Amino acid sequence: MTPDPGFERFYETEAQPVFRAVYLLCRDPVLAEDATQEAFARALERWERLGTQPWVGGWVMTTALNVARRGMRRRRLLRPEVRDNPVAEETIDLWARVKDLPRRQQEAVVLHYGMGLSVEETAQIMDCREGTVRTHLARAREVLRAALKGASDGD
Amino acid sequence: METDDRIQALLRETPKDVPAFQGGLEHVVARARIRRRRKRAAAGGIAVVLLAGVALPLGLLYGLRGAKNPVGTASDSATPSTSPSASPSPPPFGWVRHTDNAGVSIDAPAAWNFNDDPVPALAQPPMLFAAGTGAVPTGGDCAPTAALESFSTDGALFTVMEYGSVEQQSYTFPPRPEAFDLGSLGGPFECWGVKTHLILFEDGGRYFQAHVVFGPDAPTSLHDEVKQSLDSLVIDPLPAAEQRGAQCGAGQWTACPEAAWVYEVINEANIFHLGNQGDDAILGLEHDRSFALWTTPASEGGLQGTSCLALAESEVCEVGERMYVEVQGVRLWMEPAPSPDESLRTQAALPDSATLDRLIHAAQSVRLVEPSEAG
Repeated sequence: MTPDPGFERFYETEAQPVFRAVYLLCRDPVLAEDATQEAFARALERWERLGTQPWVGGWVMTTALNVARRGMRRRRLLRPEVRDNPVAEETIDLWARVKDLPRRQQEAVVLHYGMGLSVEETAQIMDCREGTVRTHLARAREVLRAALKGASDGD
Repeated sequence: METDDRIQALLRETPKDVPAFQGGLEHVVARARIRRRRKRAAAGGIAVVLLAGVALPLGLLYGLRGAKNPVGTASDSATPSTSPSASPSPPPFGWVRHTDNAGVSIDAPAAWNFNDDPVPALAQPPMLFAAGTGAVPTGGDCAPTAALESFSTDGALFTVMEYGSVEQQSYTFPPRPEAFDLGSLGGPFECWGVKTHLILFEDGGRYFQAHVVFGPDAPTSLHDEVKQSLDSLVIDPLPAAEQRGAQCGAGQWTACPEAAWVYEVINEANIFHLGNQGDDAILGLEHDRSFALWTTPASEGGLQGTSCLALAESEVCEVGERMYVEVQGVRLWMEPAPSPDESLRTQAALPDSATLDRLIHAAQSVRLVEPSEAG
C-alpha cells in the first residue's frame, strides 16, 4: 500500500495538530501518538473517498480523539489512576481537568481553546451547530471554574 | 472567584509541554495494511455465508452434491478452486478425506455419510458439514433437524460450524487441544432440541463450534471413532497478523490467553458471563452484582492505597473500589461494572465473599497455559 501523494501532504500538515489535540486531551505522549497514527491509518484506508472531502481534517481529528478516549478508558482499567507528577502551574492543572469533562465538552474545549479553531470550525468538525458548541464550551467552563475554585479553596 | 474570562484565558494558554509528534508515515501505512488484511479476513467469513447460499443451487444443478453425499464421493465433488489443507498423512485405511471450500478437511470412515451443507437455511454461523453413521439429509432451520430425525439409536452424528466474526469474544473459544475431549452432554442447545457434546475451539485464528450426538445404544468404539475423526480436522490458518496473538500484542486484552483463562475461571466458578467491556475486560454476574474482570502481570510494582487480606489461601487486595488477587503469575482484577443488558436488574458491585471464594478457587485450579506479555 503506497500512500497517495495527497495523503502524504495531508499527513505532513495535519499530523502534528492532531497529535497536539489528542495530547491535550490525554496528556500521554505514547497514547497520543498511537491514537494519531491509528486515525491516519483509518483515513488512509478510506482515502479514495475521504481525500476529496473538505471535512477530512475534522474526520481524522475526531477519530483520533475517540481512539484516545478509548485508550484512556483501557489504561484506567489496567492501571489504577494515580495523579503522579502533580504540576503546580495553574494552566496545566486546568487542562488536566479537561479529560474529566463529558465527551462533547472535551472535544469542544480541545478544538476551540487547545487548537485555536473558531466556533464555526469547531462546529464543522463536531458536526453540530455553532450554538451547540457555545453551549458545550460554556458548560465546560462552568465545570472547570468550579473545579479550579475548589482547588484554590483547598489550598 | 474565578471569572469566565480568566478561565478562557487559562484555557487559551495551552500547556507548553506538548511534545513534538514523532510518528512516521511508514507506521501509518503499516497499520493501514494490517487493518485492510483484517477486513479482508472478516469479508472472507461473510463470503463463506454467501457462498453457502450460492453453492447449493449450483451444486444441485451440476449434480455435484446431494442432500447426502456418501463418503468417498465427497473428495471428488469438492470444488477445487480453494486448495484444501494439506494433511500430513493420508487417511487411515477404510477412511476418506473430505475437503471443504472454506479450507477445512476431515477424515471419516468410508461407511459414514457426509453432507457439506446440511442446513442451508443457517446463514450465520454457517454449518460447514455434518457427518453421521446414518443418513444425513439436508434440512432444518438452525440445526440439522432432518438428520436428527433419521438418527438411529446406535448411531452418531456431528456437525462443525465456523464463526466468521466473533467480535471481541474470541476468548470464549479455547485454543484447539491436541486431542478433542467430547466432555459431558450439555443443553439441549438452542435449535437442536436434544443434548449434545458441545466443543468450541480456535484453530489458526478461526473459530469453530462442533456438536456431537450419540444414540443411547452407541458403542464406546463409536465415541472413539468420532473423536479420531474430529482430531483429523486440518484447518487452513489465517495469516499470523490476523490471529489472536497479534491482536493481543496490539493491546486487545480480550484476545490474550489471559482472557480465555478468565472466561474459563468464571465458568468454573459458576459466575454468569455477561459479555465484555470493549476489549478491556470480561463482565461477570452473580446474584445481582455485576463486575468486570481482567488481568495484569503480577510483576507490576506495588500499588498505593493497597490493603490486603488472606482469603482461600491467596491474598486479596483492595485498591480503591477495585480488588485483585494474585494467582499463576497474574493479577486478576475485579471492579464494579454496570450490566450491558439494561433489562437485567443488577447493580455494579464487587462479588460477595462467597462468590469471591469460588472465583479464587477456580482461578487456582484452572490452568493458565501461556501468559502473554500484553497483560
